[in-house]
Formats: sequence, structure tokens, C-alpha cells
Amino acid sequence: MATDQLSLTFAALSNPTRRAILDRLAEGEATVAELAKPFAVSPPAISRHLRVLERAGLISRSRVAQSRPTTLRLEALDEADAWMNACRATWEGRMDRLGKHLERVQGRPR
Amino acid sequence: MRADREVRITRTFNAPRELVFRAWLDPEEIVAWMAPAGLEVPRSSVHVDGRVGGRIEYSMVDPSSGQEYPVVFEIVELSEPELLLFESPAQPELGFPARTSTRVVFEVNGDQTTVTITQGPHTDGTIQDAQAGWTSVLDDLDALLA
Repeated sequence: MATDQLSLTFAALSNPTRRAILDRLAEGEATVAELAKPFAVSPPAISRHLRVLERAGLISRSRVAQSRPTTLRLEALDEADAWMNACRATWEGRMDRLGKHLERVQGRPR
Repeated sequence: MRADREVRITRTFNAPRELVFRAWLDPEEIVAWMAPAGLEVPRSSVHVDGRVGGRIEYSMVDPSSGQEYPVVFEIVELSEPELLLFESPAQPELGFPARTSTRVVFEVNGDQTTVTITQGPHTDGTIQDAQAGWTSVLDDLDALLA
């Protein structure tokens, strides 16, 4: 499991501006200027957010065009989803054993 | 739709609420049920300071390799026998990439007790915002994955 990648993904998702950027990108690719428009932050600040999102693998940015349009990558989000499923499985197992434990301490197996 | 994504576990036990609650804070009982399948929790590794600001600590040991995995739950809220709110530091080696919040609610259900566990990354903001933050992340994930 690429936990470093996941760590970056969750850190990236913890910021409301970055989540809003991802929402916008879910509608289609956009340039920095287009992404900055709805926010009360400067294009350089948007660029910093984009670097965080890019490191987390959540977006990709064109190396070709001068405007470097940004697109959303869904793979990192799938990985976050997989983490949540693993977390759920861990607790399900613990609850199975807690149930058995509670039967034992009460001396009434079912 | 969001419920599919949320790490929320609900279980109902044939036991009084006080008994279920104490199983979370009693070192002897933690040994009995906290270790995931295939790992052991040595009694000597379990330390519980069962109050707000205290913590539950233990190690999970892989008997085949001897590898130890420490686990920490910091107690942020404790209202016996209804509620426990934990925070845990990031533990990438255990697959917990970010600081997490774990909320455990104990409800009386006739002769039974229903336990609801919600776990997710602890996001920016106060403890009170943690739940909202996690839900918001999940909403966004949902929207993005839809």
C-alpha cells in the first residue's frame, strides 16, 4: 500500500480551497486563471494549491501549453476509497471479537 | 450514497451499556478484542489512562516476524457510558496515513447496546469540526467519484 501517496492525498483534501478546486476540475480541465476566478485568492496562491494537489497525484498539469491547463486524476481518490474500506474491515473484525468477548464475560454463549 | 463511503460501523451487543463501555478502557479486556486477526496484543504493552487528556496505548505483534506495531488512541472526550472520542497520530506503517478521529457512541437499545464507530482523517479545525470536516471530505469524494 502506497501510504506516502495516501498521506499526501488526505493532506491535500484537508483544505477547503483545494476541495473546491477539485470540484471545479470535476467539470473539466481549467487554467490557473480560470481556477482563481471564483476564489478571493491570488493566482500565485492557487498555483501553490495546485502544486500540493499535483504532489498528491490528484491532478495533472500540461507540460506543453503555456497556460498549463489542469485536469483531475481519479486514481488517487480511488486509493483513498480503498483506505476507507480497509479501515472499515479493521473495525468489523474488532466488533466481531468484542461480541464474542462480551458473551464470554457474561457466561452466556449464543 | 454517502453512507457507502463513510467509515461508520454499527453493532448491537447482548450486553448492558456499562459493560460494553468498560471493555474499551479495561486493559485486560482490550487484550481480548482489539488485535486484528493474525496479530497479538501482549498484556504488558497495554497502558490505559482512562480520562480526558489520557490515552490508550498498546502494541500489536506479528507472531511470525516479531514485528511490533504501536497503537495510540488519545482520549479527547469521555462521557461514561455514552461516548468516547479519540484521536490517533498518523501511522503510515499501519495504513493510517493521516491523523485520525474515532468517535464511539454507546446507545441503550432495550436489553442490548448499540455501538456506532465513525473513523476518518482529522482535518483542519477544532475537534468539534473534525466530524464535519471528515463528512465534507467524504461528500467531496462522492461527488468526484460519481
